[in-house]
Amino acid sequence: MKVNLFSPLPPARTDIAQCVARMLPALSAALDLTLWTDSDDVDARTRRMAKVRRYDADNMDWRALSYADLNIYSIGNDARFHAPIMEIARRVPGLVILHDVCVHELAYYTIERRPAGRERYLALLEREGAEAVELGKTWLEGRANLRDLAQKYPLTWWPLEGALGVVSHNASALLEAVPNLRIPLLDTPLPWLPNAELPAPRGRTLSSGAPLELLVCGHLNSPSRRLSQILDAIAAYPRPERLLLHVAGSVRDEKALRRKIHTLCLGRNVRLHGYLSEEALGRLMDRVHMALNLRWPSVGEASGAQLRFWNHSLPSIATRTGWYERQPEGSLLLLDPERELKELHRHWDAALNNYDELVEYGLRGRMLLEERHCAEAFAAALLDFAPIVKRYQGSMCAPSLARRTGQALGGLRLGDEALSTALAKRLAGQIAAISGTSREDA
Amino acid sequence: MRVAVLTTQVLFTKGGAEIHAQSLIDALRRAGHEAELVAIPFKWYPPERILDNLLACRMLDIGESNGLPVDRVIGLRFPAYHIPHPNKVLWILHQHRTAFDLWAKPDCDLGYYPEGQSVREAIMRSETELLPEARAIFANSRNVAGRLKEFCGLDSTPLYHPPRGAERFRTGEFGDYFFYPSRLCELKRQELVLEALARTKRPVRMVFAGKPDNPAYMEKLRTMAERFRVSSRVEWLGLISDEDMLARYAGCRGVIFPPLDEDYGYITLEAMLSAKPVITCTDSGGPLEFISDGGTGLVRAPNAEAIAEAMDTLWEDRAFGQEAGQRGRARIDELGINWPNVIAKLLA
Repeated sequence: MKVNLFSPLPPARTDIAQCVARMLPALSAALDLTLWTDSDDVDARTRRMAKVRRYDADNMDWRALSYADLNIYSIGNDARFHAPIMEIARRVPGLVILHDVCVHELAYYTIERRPAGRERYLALLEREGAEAVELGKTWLEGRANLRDLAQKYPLTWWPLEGALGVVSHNASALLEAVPNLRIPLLDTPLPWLPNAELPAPRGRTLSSGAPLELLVCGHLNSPSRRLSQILDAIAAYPRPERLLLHVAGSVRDEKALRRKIHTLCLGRNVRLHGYLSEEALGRLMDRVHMALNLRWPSVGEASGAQLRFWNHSLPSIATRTGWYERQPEGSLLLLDPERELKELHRHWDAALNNYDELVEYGLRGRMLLEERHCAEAFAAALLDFAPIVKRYQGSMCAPSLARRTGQALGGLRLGDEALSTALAKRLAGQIAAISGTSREDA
Repeated sequence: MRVAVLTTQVLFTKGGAEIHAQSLIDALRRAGHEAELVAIPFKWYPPERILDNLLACRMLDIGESNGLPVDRVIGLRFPAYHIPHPNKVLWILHQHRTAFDLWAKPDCDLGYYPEGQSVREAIMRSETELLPEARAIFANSRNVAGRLKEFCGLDSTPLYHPPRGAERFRTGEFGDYFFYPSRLCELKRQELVLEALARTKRPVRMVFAGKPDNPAYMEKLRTMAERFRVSSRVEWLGLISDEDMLARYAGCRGVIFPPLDEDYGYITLEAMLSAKPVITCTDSGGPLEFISDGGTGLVRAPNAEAIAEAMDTLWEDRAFGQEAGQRGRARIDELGINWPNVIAKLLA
């Protein structure tokens, strides 16, 4: 099966690029795969494992997409990586792998760069109602925060309009956001490495009197990652000298972070590593005792970071919400977001008192990784799903055919509503027959 | 019977399909029926226009006219053959080929558009769903029937018909030129013939008749002939009269007809009626239903070297050419390709 995959690729600093890198051996083995990127910077390993083609959304030779069996678009909320992909996805229907349920920022920054972008953005918000439009205007006037708007209106449906199907690693969150989803959905766990490439599960120990080493990593720019609250919790902990926090990842305002660390007198309890390479981050994960993978408010995404922790058999604490809440018992330490500080303290107490008990959480997570997140299983599921979504290819013509027909009908100025309705119904029936969509959709 | 013949008309274009439709009308009238040609204008780009045309066809009602029923409709071409009628018979000249056998081929325009794949799927789907509305499906040739089976899983019966004015074709002297009468376009591969001509070892001459689909293509052919240094051995007649056509067939040494996967190909039959051997290609489709290598002509791989070798052979071996031409004439008589037979089947 000839497949085009549009995605950020390593070394792009996004988890989605790493996700592609991990499943690449399995995908390349199962598919005739071409990777498409708008970046010149693609690592050698990726180039060895699949054909890599560069694209320019404004200057495409569509034949490569037309003649593929399936075009797949890897979509997350970061417009830097995904806005160019959306430009292609909106024109050539394909399968969307939706990594984030909230894609409001992606929608805004993709649309904003087009002519009359602001007007188009507000027109998009009209679909969410008058209140959304008003809030959108306040954001455009600089009187509101886009993140807050996104929390309220995640616009999950936007990248799925005109898609043949969607792959989600967190289907319940997707269906909650888009209850009337009308395209095929493949609900499949976020893929990790092929099982053969997993490192051996490893036990851990905490030496008596040694500090409990904690890790937060990844993209820490969003307040939902709770970095500030974690620092407060460390400062408020009765035995702060027993905690050492490693911060590895991107932080938007590092100066402010350092100020806070200084103010809380946590200089000896926090180490800032910046953005680490995969190898360096892996070494750090082998060293620390516990990962903190908090999300609040959650935007419903499945966590690549969590799989990474499990890959290293690393016990981790997550917020009792969304995808994390649905993981099997014993694979994660959960905390209630309403009692975050107290519960962090409780888990740290438990770890310092009997770390051996916590080690089991990391090992069970590791088993889960093997059972559910194997890359080969993902590739096989994709192969099975492809013919299902391809059935909908013809129906992608229905909206534009209906629009043109509606314009022609409007141009007739029939005046008589009953006559217009009858004609519209007959046209809808024929459009449905031609495109294979339902009469109601047509 | 009141019979409507459904076809599409690409404006200002005339080729085999137009001749076919008019010949069918003439034959129906000769057989005593009231026959009317219903030609729908057709434009295929951008691809969404194809679906607009299809939708327009689906909205037409040709069940009756002036209060009198249309007893039978005969659909020839996409999308006109999708006009609904309870007594519809299809005699398919070809489907929208870029969505089927020409998909992903160099000449496939659909693939150049982002919506091309979706339009293709919609065409394929509607063909599979709508063609069985007809009470019978005939195909113009075995080649077309094969495509219907391959792409839509539909059975159809090949139904051959004679070229226009079949009774007027005659044979003449074995002249000093090869003849290729056809529309000038990529699919007919006049370029390949020029390239072959440049590789012949004998002083072969070519006479082309026909109008280019696009004037730019004519220029391209002329430039190519100059580049290959064969201009002095090539004659471009353009559109010619029927009389001139008959004379050119009668006086040629053989006919070259190497199109890419032709549906049927009147030229083959016209050459055979004129008792002339035909050089065609292994991928030429329809002609292969009539031309056998070493029997009624020469069949070669679609490359310049192979075609040049065949041209040299026919140029050199006059006796073989004459015998092959006679065998072709005998073969067409054997097949009983005539209009009364066609009409009987379409109106059964």
